[in-house]
Amino acid sequence: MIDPPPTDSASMRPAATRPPSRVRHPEDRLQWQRAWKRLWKRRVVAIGFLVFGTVAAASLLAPWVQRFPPGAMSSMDRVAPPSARYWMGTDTYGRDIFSRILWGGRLSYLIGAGAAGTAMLVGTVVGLTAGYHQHLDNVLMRVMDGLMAFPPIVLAITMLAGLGQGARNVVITLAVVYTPRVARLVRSSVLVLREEPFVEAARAIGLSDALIVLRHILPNCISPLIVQGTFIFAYSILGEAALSFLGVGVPPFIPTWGIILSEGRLYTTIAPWMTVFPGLAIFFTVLGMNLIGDGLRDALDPRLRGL
Amino acid sequence: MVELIARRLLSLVIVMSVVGVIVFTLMYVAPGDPAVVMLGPEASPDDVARLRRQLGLEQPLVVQLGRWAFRVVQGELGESIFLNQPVTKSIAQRAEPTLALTLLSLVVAVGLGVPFGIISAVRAGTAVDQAFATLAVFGVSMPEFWLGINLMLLFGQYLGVLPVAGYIPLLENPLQWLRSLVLPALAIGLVQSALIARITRSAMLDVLSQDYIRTARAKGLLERVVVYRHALRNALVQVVTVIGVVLAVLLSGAVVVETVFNIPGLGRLLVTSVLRRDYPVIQGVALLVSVIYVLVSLVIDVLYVYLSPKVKYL
Repeated sequence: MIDPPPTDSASMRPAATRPPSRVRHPEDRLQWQRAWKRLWKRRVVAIGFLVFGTVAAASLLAPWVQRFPPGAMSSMDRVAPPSARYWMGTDTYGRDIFSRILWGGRLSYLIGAGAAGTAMLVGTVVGLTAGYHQHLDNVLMRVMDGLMAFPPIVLAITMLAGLGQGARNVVITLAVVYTPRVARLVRSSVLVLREEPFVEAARAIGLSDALIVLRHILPNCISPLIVQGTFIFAYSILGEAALSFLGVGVPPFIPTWGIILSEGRLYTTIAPWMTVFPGLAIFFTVLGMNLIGDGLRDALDPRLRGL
Repeated sequence: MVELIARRLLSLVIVMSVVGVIVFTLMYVAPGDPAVVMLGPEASPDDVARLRRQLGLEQPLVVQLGRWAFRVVQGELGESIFLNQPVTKSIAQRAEPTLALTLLSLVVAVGLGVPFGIISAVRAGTAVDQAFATLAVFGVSMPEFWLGINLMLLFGQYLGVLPVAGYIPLLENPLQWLRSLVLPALAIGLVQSALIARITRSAMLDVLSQDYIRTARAKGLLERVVVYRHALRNALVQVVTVIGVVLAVLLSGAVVVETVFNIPGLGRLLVTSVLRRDYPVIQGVALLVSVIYVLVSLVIDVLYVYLSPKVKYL
């Protein structure tokens, strides 16, 4: 479980000269179009989409791609090595690992997306509040600091000890682990944006705080947030796998990639395919997301290119 | 400098208080009576009542928190429910492998990451740079524990050159100790070396574009001298700042990888305590680990100011 790489928020400042306007400025669209173009020009992003897309599509289309129903056991073919019949071998119950990985991916993606989505949402709200309201800043950010004072997995395990196992609790836990990272990012963007002339102007014409934050500040935080989001999604998938692998995450009857891996752990020496293939599924997913994230960062913020 | 340290110490106290509240509260967010949860559903009412008294569960939550914090500050973490010994003792018994593993993986991460970063920066844009960048992305995309399993299969099972699992204490046999830690340290360190390489590279590129580097080259210094004496020293200041983050990740990695290699460290202790619902031990390990982490971050902040005269304030 890793910390998402820091995204430089100061660099996401809007063109300072942009006129304060409630109308969507044509330059806004142009900016995104340029970013989109830059994104597609980069080969790594295409590779990232390809790698991630292949695994994700296979998982989403599991009912059609699968070779056997996910729970189907064959007592004749237990712990069978990879073959034409069982592409990735079978486990101790004679279940086809390829099909299990397809279905497990759905669960892993769901948990990863749930955790990343929640962390982004809560982190954004906390970051906006802390950045804009200075009297709340100290309280909120000290709580965030407290959460960040744990190595991520230690906080996750400790929280799961309190909450108990289960898919929902894994989502909550991972969301809590990543929320402070989002909050910090958003807050530092807000601190810069708050002093920009267009925000001052919005305040001068008497807009309410809520409107200023939602209409004028939030849209300018979006691009670093998108970048951070891709990384957090990737790390949530890694996090779920690690927690389930340790036996403190989701229960065994929810066969995520982490669970499939942990089932194979005791048999690695006699049946390496039971751990190698689910690990590869995680690896390719995270690799794809990382490539997309790197590409997005370069496209949305040319100044960081080559970092 | 003194003012900086004082201010950081103050914020450390605040952060640790927050950490304490978080760790303490965890026991109470679990549904049901903590005493029942700890003892399991078959426990007799007498046992539950005794544990409730032992834990002081009759008092209001705030009072309990206060008493708990008071004891913790004095270094008293309570009794392990399952192991029947003080938590401090269980932790002391398990600390060595985890610390050894974390430090060794730091050696791997820095030892590989910094040279790779320098080479990438010096050869920026070439095939070498791209190859390293590709390797780095591969590295950060791998679950450490999975890499650990694969290393174990390759070096332990197929090649048979290193032990598959287990831990030998340093004082018992230093050579075997090292051999038992090589694979787990590689599993954790390789992944992090990718991050350090990235940061070293961008720091080096930053420094290499400075005016004084051009001056150094213009006066005819050897490229080697320019890179290592003039550029690297300044770039390393930036690398030092991320070591705190890296250390947290290494500790995290150690917690998971200990399970793969069956190393009796704090990670194993934490995980088995969760499975046994041994809350005092969980609280103790979580507190200790975060104290170490926060202290290391403090040292690194101070070191950063010391190394970089430009930074007067953090």
